[in-house]
Amino acid sequence: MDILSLVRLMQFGDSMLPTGAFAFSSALEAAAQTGVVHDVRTLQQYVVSALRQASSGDAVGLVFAMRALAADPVSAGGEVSEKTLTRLRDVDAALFRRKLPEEFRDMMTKTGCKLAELGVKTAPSPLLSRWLSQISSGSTPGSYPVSLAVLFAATAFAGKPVRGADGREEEMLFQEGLTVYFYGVAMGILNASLRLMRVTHLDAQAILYRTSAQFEPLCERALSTPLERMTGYAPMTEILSAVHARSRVRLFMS
Amino acid sequence: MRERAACSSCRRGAPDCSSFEAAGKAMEELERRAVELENYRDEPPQMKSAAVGKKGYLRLEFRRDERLGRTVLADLDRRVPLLAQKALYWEESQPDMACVITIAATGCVVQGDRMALDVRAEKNAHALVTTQSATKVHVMDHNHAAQLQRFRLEEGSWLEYVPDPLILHRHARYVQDTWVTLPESACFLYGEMLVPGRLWHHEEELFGFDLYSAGFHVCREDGADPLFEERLVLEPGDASFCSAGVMDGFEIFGSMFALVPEALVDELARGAGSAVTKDLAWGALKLPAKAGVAFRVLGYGVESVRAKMREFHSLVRERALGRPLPPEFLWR
Repeated sequence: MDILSLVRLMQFGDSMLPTGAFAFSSALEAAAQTGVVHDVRTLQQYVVSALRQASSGDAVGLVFAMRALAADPVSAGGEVSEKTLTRLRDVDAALFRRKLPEEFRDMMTKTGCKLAELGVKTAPSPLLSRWLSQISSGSTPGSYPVSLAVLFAATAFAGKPVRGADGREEEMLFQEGLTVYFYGVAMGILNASLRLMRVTHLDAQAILYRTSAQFEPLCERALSTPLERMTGYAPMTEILSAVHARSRVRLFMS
Repeated sequence: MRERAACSSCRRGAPDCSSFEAAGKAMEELERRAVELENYRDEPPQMKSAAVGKKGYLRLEFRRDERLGRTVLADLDRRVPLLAQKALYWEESQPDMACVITIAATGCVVQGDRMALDVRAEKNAHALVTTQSATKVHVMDHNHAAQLQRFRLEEGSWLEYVPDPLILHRHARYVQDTWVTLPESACFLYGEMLVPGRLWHHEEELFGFDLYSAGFHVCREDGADPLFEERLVLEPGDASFCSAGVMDGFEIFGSMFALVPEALVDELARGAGSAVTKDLAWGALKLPAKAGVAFRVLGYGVESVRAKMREFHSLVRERALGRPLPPEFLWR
C-alpha cells in the first residue's frame, strides 16, 4: 500500500468524518435503556452482531458497487457510463428495500447523502458530482455503502488507474473500502456507547481492538455473498429500533 | 396462460407456481440460487429428493360468490403429501371468510422433500389459510428440505396465512422462499413462528439445526422489482444467537407481515407498540415503500409468543375489517 492510499484510508475511515453518523446510535440507545446492553461484554456482543449483519448485508452492496465501478471506463480516467450508473442505482435500491427498520433506512440514506456532499467538496470529481445529482434528484435513495464505493473509486481512480493485469489492485481497493466500512460500523456504536452507558474510552478501544481482529473473515464473507442473497438475522436489534423510534426521550436520532 | 407467459419472461420477478409443472421448475430455480445449501446437496440413500410422494404441491383459489354472499374455495390442485380440507366458515366475526386447513400427510418434513404452495385470492375474496398442527422438520443427515410459497392477491381481496409453528429438529436443513404479489387495495397477513428444536429432547437439540433460510419478497405486480424483501439465514454452527443484538437469550422467534393500504400503516405501527420485558420482546417496523408493517416477537415459550402475535393479528383485523379476532378455540 502506498502512502497516498493509506492517508485516504485514514481520512475516510476516521470517526470524525462529518457524515452525520454521530447522530445515530444503531438502536444502542434503546438497548441501553432497556438493559439489553449493560456492560462491556454485552456491548461487545452488540458490536459483533452489527458487524456480522453488515458483512452479509450492506458490505455486500458496497462490494457490488465497487465492482461495477472498477469495471467501468471511469477506472481508467474516462467518463462514467450510464450502464454503470444504472447498476449503482440497482445496488442502492437493493440495499434500501432490505432495510426493514425505518431508523436504519434513515441512517443509511442521510449519511450516504452527506458522504457524497463531503466528497464533492473535498475531492471534486465528475463521478462524485454525477452520483450526488442522482441522489438530489431523487432518482436513487443514496445509501451509505454505495456513496462510500463512489468516493473510494473517485479518489483511487484519480491517483492512478486501478485496473492491474492480475486484478490485485482491485482486490486491494475492495478490501480498503470494506475495512473503512466495518470500522465505521464498530466506531459508530462505540462512540454512541460513551455517551449512553458506563464504559470508559479504554473499554471502547479494547472492544474495537478485539472486534477488528475479525475484519478479515468479515471481508471474505462480504466478498463471497451474491447481491441477491444478502441476509440478516438480528430480531433483537430490529425490536430495539422500534422501541427507539417510539421512546419519549432521545439523545440520538430516529 | 397469459400470466404464466408474463412470469417466465421476467428476469427475476416472482416465480410461477400456477401449475405443478411450473412449480417444479420454480423450485429448481430456488434450489439453484440457494448458495447456502452448498454443503447439503448430497442425495439421500433412501428415496431420491423430489421423488413422487416427496414433491408436494397445493394450489388454492378463492373466489367471492355473490350468490352465496361469501368466499368459496373455487379451485384446488394437489399432489401428495400436501392436501387441504374443504373450506369452513368458523370465523364468527367474518362469516363470509373461507377458512382452509392445509395438511402434510407425511407428518414430518424429511430430507429431500420439496413443497410448493400457491394461493390466489381473486377480486374481493376473503380467505384464511392455516395448518392443523406444527410443521416439524425432521433430523437430517443428507440433502435438505425446501418449500416455495406463492401468494397472489387481486383488488380488494383479503388473505391470511398464519400456520402453526415450524419446529426445526437437530441437523435440519430447511430453505424457504415466499413471494407475494398484491395491489394497494388488497391486504395480506402472514405470520410464522420459528421454534429452534423440541423441548426437553436432547442436549444438542436447542439451536441444533444446521440451516434455516427464509426469503420474503413483496411485489405490486409480477415481474416488478420488490417493494421490500428480506432473507433470514440462520446457521447455528456459525454464529451465536444468544448475543445481545441477535436474540439476547430468547429462544422463539415470531414474525408477521401485515401488508395493508398505506393509510393504515401508521395506525398499526402505533397500535402494535414495542417493548423489551423479562419474558417477551416485540416491536413493529414500518416497511419500505409504505408497504405495511412487520411485527417481530421474541420469547421463551410458544404460548406467550403466539398470544402476542395473535394480539397483532387481531389489531390488523380490527383496524382493517372493523372487527377483532374472535376468542381462540379452546382446543387450539
